[in-house]
Amino acid sequence: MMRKLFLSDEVLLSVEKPARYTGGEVNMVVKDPAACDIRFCMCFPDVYEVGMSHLGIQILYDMFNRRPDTYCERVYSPWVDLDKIMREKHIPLFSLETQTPIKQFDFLGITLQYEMCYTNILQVLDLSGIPLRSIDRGEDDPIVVGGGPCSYNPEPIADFFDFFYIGEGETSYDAVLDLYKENKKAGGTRADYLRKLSHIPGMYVPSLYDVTYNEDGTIASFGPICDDVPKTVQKMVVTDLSNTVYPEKPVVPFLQVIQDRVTLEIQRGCIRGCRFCQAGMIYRPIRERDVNWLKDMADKMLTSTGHEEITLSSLSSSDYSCLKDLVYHLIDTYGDQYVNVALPSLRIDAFSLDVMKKVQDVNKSSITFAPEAGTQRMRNVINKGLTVEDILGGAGKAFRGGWNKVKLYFMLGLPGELDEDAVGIAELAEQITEEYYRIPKEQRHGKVAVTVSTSYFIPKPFTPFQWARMATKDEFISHQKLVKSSIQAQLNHKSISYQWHDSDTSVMEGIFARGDRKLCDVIEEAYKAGCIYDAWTEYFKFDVWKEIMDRHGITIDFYNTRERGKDEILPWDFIDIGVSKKFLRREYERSQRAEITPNCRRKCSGCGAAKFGCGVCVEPRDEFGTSLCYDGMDTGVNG
Amino acid sequence: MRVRVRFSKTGSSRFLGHLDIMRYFQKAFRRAGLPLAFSEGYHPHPLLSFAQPLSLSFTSNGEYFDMELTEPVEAGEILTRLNSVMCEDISVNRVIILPDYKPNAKKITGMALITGAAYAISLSEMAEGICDAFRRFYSEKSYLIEKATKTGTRDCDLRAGVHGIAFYDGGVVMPVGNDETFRYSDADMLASIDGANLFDDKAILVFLDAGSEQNIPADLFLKGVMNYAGFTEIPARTVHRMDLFGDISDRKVPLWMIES
Repeated sequence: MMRKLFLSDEVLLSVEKPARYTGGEVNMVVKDPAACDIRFCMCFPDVYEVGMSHLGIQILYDMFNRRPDTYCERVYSPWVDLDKIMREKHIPLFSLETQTPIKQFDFLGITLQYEMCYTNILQVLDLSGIPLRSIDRGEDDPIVVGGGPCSYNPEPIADFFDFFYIGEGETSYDAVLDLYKENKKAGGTRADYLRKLSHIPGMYVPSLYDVTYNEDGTIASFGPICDDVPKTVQKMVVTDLSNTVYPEKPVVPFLQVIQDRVTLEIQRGCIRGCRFCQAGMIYRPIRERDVNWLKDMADKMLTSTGHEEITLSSLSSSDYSCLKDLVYHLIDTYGDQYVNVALPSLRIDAFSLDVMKKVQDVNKSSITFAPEAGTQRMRNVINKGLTVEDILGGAGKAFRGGWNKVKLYFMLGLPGELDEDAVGIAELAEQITEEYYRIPKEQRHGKVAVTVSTSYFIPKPFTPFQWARMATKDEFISHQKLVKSSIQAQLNHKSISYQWHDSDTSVMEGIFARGDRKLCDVIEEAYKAGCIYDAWTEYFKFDVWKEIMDRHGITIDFYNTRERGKDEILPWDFIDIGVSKKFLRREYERSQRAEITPNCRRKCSGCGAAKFGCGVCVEPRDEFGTSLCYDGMDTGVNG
Repeated sequence: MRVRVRFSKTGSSRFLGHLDIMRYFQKAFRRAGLPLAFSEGYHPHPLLSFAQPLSLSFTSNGEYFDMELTEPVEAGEILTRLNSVMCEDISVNRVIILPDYKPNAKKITGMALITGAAYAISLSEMAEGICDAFRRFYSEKSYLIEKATKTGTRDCDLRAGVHGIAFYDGGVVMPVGNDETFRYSDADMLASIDGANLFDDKAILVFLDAGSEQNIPADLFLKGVMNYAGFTEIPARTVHRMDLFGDISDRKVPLWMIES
């Protein structure tokens, strides 16, 4: 049976990469929609090649489609060329699988991976013909649900969603869908459904909560409008990651997408506790997947996709306790079949260098370190356990192993950052070049090339820095210039190249990250003024945003550059991620004294995640409280 | 072992570009467990060579690639295995085992053999006199058009690049004139129209020069004939490639019949 395409050949031929909109990929799920009670459309609000690279959607797509009563399809943001045509010709947005208008679905699920996609959410709703605000939707509109990292502060986009699923998707969607069917059968309305839904742990229905503000704009009160709606929303956690759904047959895109490979999530969470890192807190506790389960899954996925590469996914792969076993198994089993094994976020040591030598071309690849800060004091402030000795030692080993390219990642504008911390970035890069020239000339492989990249630090909810002031644009730029001039003043400046991020985007991301419901109006207005694809520098229009914020009295100072009070009600306080606010505060105070906190395996710091009763929190420990799984390395991720 | 594969590209796959199709098949070999051979050296690439790119939105029954396998597999087995891992609108319809290259001989893939292509062009509106226009065009000795090149334009004899025209209507093929025409059995020709999106089950079948020496794209042909007959507007059309051809002693034969 040939699928009929929704767009005419004429439209498809007038846009870039029409295969973004035609579906039909290998492993796409085909079902008879008429035989399914629930039609769910999963959306990544960015272009196809970005959205198709995301593991989370593949997991949920697979999980939903395991239910015989549910057909889950996909939709991505139309690129700007098609967006324009759809508006001009009044063509509604449609799903890839059955090429059905989104408006006809029961659910539209939107994954929230980064703040700068917020206007694209409105683009998807608008092109679908779904009212932008939950309050304006009727019985015939899909239920719009959000999930993913940005749902840990859903307030800036609260008005656009019917509900948010807080936490890991594998646990509670069955209850969500079962309740939908039940409610429909009983003749219940949309409002009935959302009300009952709020009783399922993890489900946040913004319309059932009310916010009041103090005169200074901070929150005076936040709470449910009815007694039966819970005051706090619990984050959902998968307690056993070796006994859960995983996509054995992920969809294989025709187009070259960003992650064109098998992704094997080896563990979830991180033991390191870097104070700037939101993922490191919201995914606590770290939970490993069983190594044999992973080997089996790798085999199934490589066979079902035919991908030429497999990558291990985790926040800090070096902390996975069976990493050697897994990696050597993958190399030994698939290496001679021209399958590449990619290993991001590895600590540079003898093992990782050996592995990299086996899977990469040493002449072309580079060694990556993410010290994040230029001085030891600053690295202590952010609790990044990497020392200069670690970096120079790792780089030295790599240089002797034949590498000559090094990438370094840093953040600028960290809390309490001084000029010397910016200068320290340049100095560290210089020290690495010196390390290279310490090798006898005849053993060197050409010239050394160090690439320094800086991004601007943005305080995120549920991190110890959630109270911290974010640097101003001027402060960002002044330190960025200081890094640049310091590099140029050094002896080996010709071996060091420097790249930095756009500061306006960071300012806007900062506002969204810790924003409140007052931002909904701003986002809607910016969208209506033509802002979409804000994550793409070439389409980001800061002047438009600034003008609208000014009109609404939204100041950069209130959201970004102000230190938040210890007792202030933060917009995301109603979410319980397991990690307590008290712990985060304690960590914030330790950071101000540049005190480091041991990682979860070395010593439990009592963050609160132990209440989930899984992962590192239940690993056996010795009499000093150190996990028996601890590898003794205080250095975590390098890159 | 050298293998030639002929496949169809219909339905939604007509919007996949040439590079996407190459990537698609490389992954398909892995799914099918077919041991594709790789070149030697530090950056091994698969020994795989695709024929003439097909324009986006064209369907086809006669797409080709040649490949090398590291160990022998029977043709029928290759066909079955590949088809068990295809996506909805791509399927393999012929597999031909080719003789090995002679030692020290120049390695030429079948793709360099291409000299012709047959297309079914279907028009949304068959204006009065259109069929006659094709007949008249075909009776001309020559018809010069300007063809775009990398550096500008050059004159090209469109008529000389056309080796046969026929009308297809509801399963019946009516050739125009009886000189050089499709060297194809009727059954084969009818089978290769499968998968074409025809308006009203009607099409103009045309046999054009293709390949590196002289290449007449289907749209260039259509535009040329329309200009020739004085039609100012070209109606919406679909194009379907029926097959690709090479020469055997001055006769054009489908690529799958050439065992080299």
